[in-house]
Amino acid sequence: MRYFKMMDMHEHFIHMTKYTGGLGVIESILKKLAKVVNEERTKDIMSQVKIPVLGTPLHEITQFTNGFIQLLESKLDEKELRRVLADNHHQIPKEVYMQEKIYYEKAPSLEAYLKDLHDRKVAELTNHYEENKVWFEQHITPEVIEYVKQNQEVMSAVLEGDSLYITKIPYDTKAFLEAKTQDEQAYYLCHCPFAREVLKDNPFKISSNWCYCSGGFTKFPFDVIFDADLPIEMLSSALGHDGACRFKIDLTGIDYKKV
Amino acid sequence: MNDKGLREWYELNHLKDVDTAISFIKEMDQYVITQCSSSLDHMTLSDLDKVIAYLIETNRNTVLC
Repeated sequence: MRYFKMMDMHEHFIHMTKYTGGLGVIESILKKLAKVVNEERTKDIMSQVKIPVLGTPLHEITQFTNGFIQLLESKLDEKELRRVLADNHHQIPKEVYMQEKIYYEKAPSLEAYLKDLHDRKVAELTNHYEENKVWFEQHITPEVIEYVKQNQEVMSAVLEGDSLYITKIPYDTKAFLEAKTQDEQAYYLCHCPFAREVLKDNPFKISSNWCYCSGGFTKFPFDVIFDADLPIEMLSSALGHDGACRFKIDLTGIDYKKV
Repeated sequence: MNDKGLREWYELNHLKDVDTAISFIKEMDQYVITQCSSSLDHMTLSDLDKVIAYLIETNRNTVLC
């Protein structure tokens, strides 16, 4: 991967991330499981899980994911399932978002912070476009920048009542914007290395409950900012073929800065 | 194989065992040349999948990153 990065072989680098993007995620989910349910139930579930090795073909990974989410759905109630999945399973260090916490503390209100965050993200994408750099796993075009610019829910959030609404940026925004069908849109929306290949040919469906894992990733920056494990609800998802991955974070009881 | 890329790759990553790193990349390059009639610098994504399968077969998939 490092070699491809150095050589500016963007397509190869992005292709490799499809394999490596899920590193440690299942292990982290099982670790969280042990915190949510008792030892006996944890052991029962863990005994039925065989974690795919790094480099497993991408279509085989989706078969694993399908079995895994079905197992979790059969063994956990809805509340437990959400708690287990909606966490920082990519193990991003808190420190990554400490600077955001400082920006929030300096902002006059949460709304002002969200507006500033969105502006900064648009500027970041613009910089990547101008320097022809891959932004995480995608190429940035003027159309992608415009798409993000038009909706503050993307790469930031919109506050309504005591809730934050967030729409995830698609995995491949350029292709998503050019997609002709809902199925194509779903494929280009999905970031998940454990699920997205199933959206290519739709040989079977993976339960959209799996997307609570993505919800955990989505809410983590706000968990850090508010030093809380915030409740999250999935409103729409790629696996549900809903045309967007959209989440609602409940800030009830959080003493956030109001205008 | 591109010498500039190779040199930058190991310098960037401050690899302790440079010889091993170079030998690994060269082995991968040779694999792609023999199996895909290409080279590491010009291979297709489907060739890359073959390399990944080869690394799994030889129990070296952890070096993917």
